[in-house]
Amino acid sequence: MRLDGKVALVVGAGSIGSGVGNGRAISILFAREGARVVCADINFQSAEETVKMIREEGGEAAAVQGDATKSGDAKRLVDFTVELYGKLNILVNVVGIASGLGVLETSEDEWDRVLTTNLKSIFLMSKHAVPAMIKSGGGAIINISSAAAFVAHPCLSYGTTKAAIINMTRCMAVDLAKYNIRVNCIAPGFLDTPMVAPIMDDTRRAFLRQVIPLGKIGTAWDTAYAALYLASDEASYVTGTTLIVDGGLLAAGGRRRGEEKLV
Amino acid sequence: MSPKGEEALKAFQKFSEEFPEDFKRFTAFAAKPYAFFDPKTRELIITTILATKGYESEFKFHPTFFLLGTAWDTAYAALYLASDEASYVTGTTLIVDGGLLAAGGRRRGEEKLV
Repeated sequence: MRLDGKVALVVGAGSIGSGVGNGRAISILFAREGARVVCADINFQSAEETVKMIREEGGEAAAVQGDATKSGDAKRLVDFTVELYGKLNILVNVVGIASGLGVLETSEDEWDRVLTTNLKSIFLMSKHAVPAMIKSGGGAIINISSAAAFVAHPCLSYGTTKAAIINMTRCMAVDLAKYNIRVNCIAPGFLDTPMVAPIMDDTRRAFLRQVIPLGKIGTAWDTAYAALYLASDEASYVTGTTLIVDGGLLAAGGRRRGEEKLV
Repeated sequence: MSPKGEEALKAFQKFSEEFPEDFKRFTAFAAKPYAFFDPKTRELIITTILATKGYESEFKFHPTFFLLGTAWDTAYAALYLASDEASYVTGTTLIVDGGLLAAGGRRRGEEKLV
């Protein structure tokens, strides 16, 4: 198996509702590939649900509650992992929200909340996880950005943070290379995940199938397989980069599926 | 041993003579490609040596040496992109460079930008 002997901490391993979001899919897939997985989430029940799904498949996992935007909690999540499984090899930062719209419609509270949740969580989790990774002989950190990092997004705070995550990834990758810690980023495009379920209906799905070159809407498993590659030793020469998983959406630059001409 | 292997071994021996303290613990094995700058000729020497078992990490993080990628790194990236695991991935570029581009010219271990 591709993650045999590794210990992973997935922050944001729960899911909104009973579906499978990025954190849940990543946790399940990592466990399938032999990793022991600590599933952390601000919502304990949701993390427990992920663990239940892993154990039903015969995998090894544990749930823990924590708010990754609080330094004390971030440290506690890392300590929990090391006490339980003896080391830490992989950290996946999945925590993320979107709130508000454009600059006129976004409140100051929304702005602060999105920046704290999407950026500070990565900073704090990495800050506390890195010493444990160094003791474990190195490791891999995977951050979840978005295709929204490369083009304008209607939610200003979301688009801002997702672009920032890409350069956070580069900065940490170069900084931590000396400890044999790789830091990479995944930028998913439109996915049919529980997070976007409230704004997904058949009309929108039909529209998306027209604008996504591959003609389908991805799922959390597409993110999970990208994370598996980046977390595994197969990617041992890959660091500081961003892997786009968007069905070709960004490459198309607005051209609809089947359109041969630019205008 | 192939001519290339002999060349690598010679380079390694030459280097260990110059820095005997650092390399007492290391013996030569044909394995992963490493590189180092020869301080006398200022040449980049690529060699295939690996630390004695148990000292890999010490060797790996020695400031003089750095691990180069191999064709297998490209192969694993190609395997991912070719497989159904990447069925939602198209039109993108997967960089496999050990962080070289991200570093933007900064040398390994350098803390300052300028």
